[in-house]
Amino acid sequence: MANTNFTNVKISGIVTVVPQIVKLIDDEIDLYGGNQKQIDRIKKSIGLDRRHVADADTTSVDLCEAAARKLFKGLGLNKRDVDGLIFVTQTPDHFQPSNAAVIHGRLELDSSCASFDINLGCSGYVYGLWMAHMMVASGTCNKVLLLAGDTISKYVNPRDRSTAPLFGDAGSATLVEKTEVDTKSFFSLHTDGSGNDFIKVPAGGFRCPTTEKTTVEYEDTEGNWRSQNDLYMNGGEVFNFSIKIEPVAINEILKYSKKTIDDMDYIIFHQANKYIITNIAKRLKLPLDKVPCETVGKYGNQSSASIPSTINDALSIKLSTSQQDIILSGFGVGLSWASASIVLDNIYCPTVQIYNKG
Amino acid sequence: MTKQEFLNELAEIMQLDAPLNGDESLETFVEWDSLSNLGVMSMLDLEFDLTVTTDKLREIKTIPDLIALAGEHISG
Repeated sequence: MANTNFTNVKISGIVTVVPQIVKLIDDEIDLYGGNQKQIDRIKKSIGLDRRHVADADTTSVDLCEAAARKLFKGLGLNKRDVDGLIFVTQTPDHFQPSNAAVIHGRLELDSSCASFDINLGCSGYVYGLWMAHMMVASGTCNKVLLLAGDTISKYVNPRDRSTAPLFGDAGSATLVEKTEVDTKSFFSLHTDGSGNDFIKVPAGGFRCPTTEKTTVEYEDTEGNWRSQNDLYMNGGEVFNFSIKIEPVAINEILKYSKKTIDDMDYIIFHQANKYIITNIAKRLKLPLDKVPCETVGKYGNQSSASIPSTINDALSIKLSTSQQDIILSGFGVGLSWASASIVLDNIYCPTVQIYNKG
Repeated sequence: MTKQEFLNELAEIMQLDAPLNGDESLETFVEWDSLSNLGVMSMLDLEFDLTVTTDKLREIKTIPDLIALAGEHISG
């Protein structure tokens, strides 16, 4: 069982940066055959409204670089002290080299810094945190920079209602470091690869390289259009998966950390959409004021960056001025899911930043 | 759950303005879409511990069919 806990490791700061361009579902009425009522239903039940998307030449590296620079400044951190760098993304600049190497160069970090990418989506932030904690707890590193960012909006077909209005882009930076304070963090990690087809970009890798054929767009039974190069998501199956496994996952991490819902100040889920989160909360009988779920309506589903983005958006003041017991839980592509029970104590936590292209 | 309670829940999931009488064809509603399907899947699971696939739900054409799917869980 992939459960573990760490002591003397803390999170000191979290920054999220979103691109400038804002898209509104209200402006996409053509996607819904001119049916405003359907848009209103989607806004009300799924919680979609606005989303921030990157322009053609802004990538996850740019967004995370901006987040990292803001984090360094906010913490007064000497970048030479960063000896671990993890970049969680599924929308890298290149297959080779890793995003971690690209940003290591841009930030001019020290050469004695272990740097690598993790290829995970919606569960990726928690996986990245786990890895960062492990690197510190093992004695390998003192300060690990965890970057989690994606530009999934670039993967969706604009004529696909199951993905196009949903995804926003973002980059985040989190500092995980060694502390003398007797902290305790708990993690549980999961995978169900039998569901690897439910969220997928079929072409563009080595199994199915991009060809003229993979760029041909086709209409599915729901009337959505996409090509093999575009992101496909089986919304119904992903929904079923989420509402089934997340209540179990939350109960598991509570049990493992010997805590109850009442002990927790907040439960922060990957912001798939508002409907999924409120549904999971209902099943767990969670008080809704402990479960922020407005991120999707403001920024879109931000994949690996949705958890840090929610922390910066909803808990900026709370976390900057007090100590909070928090559960984080990510779930999605893979299928993969991971949960953590952590304490965030007076961290550097500014509100969500808008990317300044400069 | 009574049939009336079920119909009320369904009307709320589909966000209909008028109540359902229980013998409608679902295909006549533009509101019977993938969004409503998710809502119904969630209700069946939450209320009756009944897991229904998206494909199975797509085969459902009428409200009596949907009620039959829930079977013994709906009375009256």
